[in-house]
Amino acid sequence: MFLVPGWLIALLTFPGVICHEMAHRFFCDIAGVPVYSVSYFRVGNPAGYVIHGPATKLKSAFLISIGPLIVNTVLCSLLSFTAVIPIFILEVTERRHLASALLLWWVAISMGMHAFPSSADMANFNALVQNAGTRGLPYFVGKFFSGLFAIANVLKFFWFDAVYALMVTFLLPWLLFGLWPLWPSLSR
Amino acid sequence: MDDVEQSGAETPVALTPHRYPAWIWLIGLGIVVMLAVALNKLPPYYRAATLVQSAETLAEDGHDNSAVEFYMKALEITPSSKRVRLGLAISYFRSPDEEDHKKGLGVLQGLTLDKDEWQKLTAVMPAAYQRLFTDVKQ
Repeated sequence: MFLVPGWLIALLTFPGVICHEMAHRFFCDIAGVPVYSVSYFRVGNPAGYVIHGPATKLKSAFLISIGPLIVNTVLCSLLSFTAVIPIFILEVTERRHLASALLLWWVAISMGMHAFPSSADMANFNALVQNAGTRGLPYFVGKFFSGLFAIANVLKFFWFDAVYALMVTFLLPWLLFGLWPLWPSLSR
Repeated sequence: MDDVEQSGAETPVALTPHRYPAWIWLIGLGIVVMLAVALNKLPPYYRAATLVQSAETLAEDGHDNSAVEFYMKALEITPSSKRVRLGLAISYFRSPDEEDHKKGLGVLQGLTLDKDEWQKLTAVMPAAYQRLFTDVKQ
């Protein structure tokens, strides 16, 4: 596997890291969970963190853990849609337009790459799911997501985070234009 | 990137909710501005992309005159689009009218083409025009 140090990836995709931690912090504040310490970005492992108190409700834990996934994914999708059209569909050659599209695409990819909850995020969430005491729908939804994200974290070794980001960036164009933007030669 | 739960004998002081450092506000503002710019640019790009898609379908079906109209509309939105200019030139070169061939040549001015694109173009471009192009070293 092509190995690149985590700190270098984080450095190259820092907008996504900052946005991920901002979302954690924001959803902690929304859920009324106390936050004790925050690092929005640093060169190290982890690249960012939010130290917070325990969430008392499963809903709050879900929001805090999954919030960054939703925020980063939506931002990735919206920012990249405007970038993918001029780069891959229209193939603009004017430097100014191309540069702004590439800038948008870089920010979008960085958002997508840091969308998934980290293993620590999921460990917290799992602990709360286990201690929730209930075995209703939220419990099973929680278990499903924690399983899904556990697999995603293992697959990060195989660049799943980058694959996910690319999938998100091409999802809307693919839905609207078919396979056209990805393989233009198929439609010509 | 972690969110870490804190538990222990000593309860640390919690940060004031919804109070973020100034640089975080700036980054947040930057993201909002970027999103606004992206969403503002999206409608014309989307329109150009759908026009190109329609133009290519028309050209494939042999309706080059109609395809040219769609390509021209797309070209007004994104004058530097290689895909639009190449498609438009091909439709012009398919026309029996020599004036259209000249227009096709004009559309290609300043464009660098890869091998596949050049092959598509030479399939319809008059041989006399092909001599006007030069090889570019990559």
